[in-house]
Amino acid sequence: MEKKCSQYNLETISAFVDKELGPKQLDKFACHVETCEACRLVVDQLQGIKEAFKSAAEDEMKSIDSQVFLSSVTAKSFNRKPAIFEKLKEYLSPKPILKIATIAVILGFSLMYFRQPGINGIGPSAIVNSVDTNMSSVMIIETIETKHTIIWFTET
Amino acid sequence: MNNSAVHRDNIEEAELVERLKRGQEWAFAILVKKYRMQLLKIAYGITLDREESCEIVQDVFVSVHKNIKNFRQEASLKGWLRKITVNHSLNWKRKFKRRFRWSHTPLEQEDEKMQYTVQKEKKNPETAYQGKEFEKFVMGRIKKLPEKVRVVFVLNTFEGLSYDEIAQSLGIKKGTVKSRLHTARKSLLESIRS
Amino acid sequence: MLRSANTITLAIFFFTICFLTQAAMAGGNVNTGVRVIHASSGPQFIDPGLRDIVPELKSVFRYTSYRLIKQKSMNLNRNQQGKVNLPGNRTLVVTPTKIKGKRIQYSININKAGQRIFNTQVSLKNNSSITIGGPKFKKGYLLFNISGRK
Repeated sequence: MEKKCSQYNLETISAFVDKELGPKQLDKFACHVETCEACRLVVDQLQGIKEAFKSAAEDEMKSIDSQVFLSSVTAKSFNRKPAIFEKLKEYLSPKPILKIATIAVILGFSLMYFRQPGINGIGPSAIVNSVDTNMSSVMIIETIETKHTIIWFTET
Repeated sequence: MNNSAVHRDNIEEAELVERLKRGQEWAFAILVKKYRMQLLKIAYGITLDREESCEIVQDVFVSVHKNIKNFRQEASLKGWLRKITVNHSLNWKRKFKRRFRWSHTPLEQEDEKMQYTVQKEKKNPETAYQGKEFEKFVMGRIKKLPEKVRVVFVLNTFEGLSYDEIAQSLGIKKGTVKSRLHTARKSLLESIRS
Repeated sequence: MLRSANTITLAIFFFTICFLTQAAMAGGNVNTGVRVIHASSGPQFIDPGLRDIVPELKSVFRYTSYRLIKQKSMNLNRNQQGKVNLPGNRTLVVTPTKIKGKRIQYSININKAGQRIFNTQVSLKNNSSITIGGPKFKKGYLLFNISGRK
C-alpha cells in the first residue's frame, strides 16, 4: 500500500509538474516535496508517465522515412502526377489520329475487362442478405480498393 | 552544404510564410522538415496509430499549402499547424475503415497489463518506471483515456503548453483543461498502482 | 467447294464447343474454396498462399501475422453442403443455394460443439470471395475466406 500525503492532493502535484504553481505555492511545495516521500513518489510517477508517452511516440514516429514522407507530401501538394502517367504521356503519339486509336484500344480493353464475369467490377464482392447470430456484435465492412466484403462477429 | 542551403534551412518564420505564399517548393520542403516530427507526435498521441498519423500529417501539410494565403502573420505558424493537426486527428475516426481499425484491439494488448505486472515484480522500484515494458503499459492505458482527455494530455506532454495555451488552442476553459489533465493522471496513476 | 465445306465444318465444331462449354458452366456446379486463416499480432509473417487476400485484410486489420492453417476446395452442387472442420470444435458449413446472374447465393453456417452460432446468407460475386472473422484462437483470431466460381 502506497502512502498518501495529507497536505497536498493530486491537483497541486500536477500543477507543480506542469510548472503552473504561483511563486509562493511553488516555494512551499518545493520544500514539502523534499521531505514528503508520498508526494515525491507521485511526482516521479507523473514524470515517468510523461517520459514514457513521449519516448513511445518518438520511437514510433522515427520509423517513418523522412525522405519518402517529404516526396509524397510534395507530390500531393504540387499536384505532381506519379511517374507512370508521365511515361504514358511519352508513349502517346503527337499525331491526333494515333491518339484516338490509342484511346480506342484502351477503352476497348477496359470494356472487355469489365464485361467478363467474375472480374471485380462495381459493387461489393458479396452482398450480405442476412446475418443470424446470438453473438454480441456483428460488423459488415467493405475494403476500399477491391470492395472485398468482410463480416466480423464477436463470439461470446 | 553550401551557404545558400544553410540560409534556406535557417529561414525566419515570416520569410518562410512569405515564400510559401509565393508557392516556392523549397520553402515547402523546409516547412515539412521543420515541423514534420512535432506534428507526427501530436497526431500519434491522439490517434495512437502510426499509419493514420502519417496520413493525417501529410493531409495537414497539403492543407497548409492550399490555405497559406489565408494565414495571418499575427498568429504563430507553429500554433496554426498544431491546431490543424489536432482538428485532423480528431476527425480521423469519422471514416468507417479507420473507426474499425481503431476499435479492433488485438488480443495481445489485453495481456499487456499482465506482462507489465510480471516485469514490475522482477525489477526494483527505481527501475520499474523505466524501460519499454512500462512504455507499452502506459500506451495501453493512454489508449483507454477518452479522446477529449487525451488531446489535452498530448498538448501538455508533447508540446509543453501551459493550461492557458491549451485552453486557447482547443477553445475550452482553463478549468476544463485542469480537470481533463486531472482525469488523465488519476486514471494513469491508478493503473500503475493497482 | 471443298474449301467452303471445311470452313462450315470448322464453324459447326467451334459453335458446338462453345455451346457445350456454356452448358457445362450453367450446370450448377460451384467450385467453392475455403481458406482458414490465423491472424495475430505476432512476428511479421504472410503465408505465401494468402498473398492475394492479405493486402485487403491489412487495409482494415492491424495484424502483423497471417497464417494459412487450412485450405479446402469443394465442387458443390446446388444445396449440397460443404463442411470444413475448424479449430476449437467448430465447423464451417457452406451451401450454394442459388445462382442468380453473376452472383452465387451461399448459406454459411458456423457451428460450435454441434450448435449453430452464426449464419449468414450472402450473394457472392462469381470468382470473388468473402471473409468472415471473429472466433478467438491462439492469441489471435480466425478468419475464413470463402470463394466461389460457377
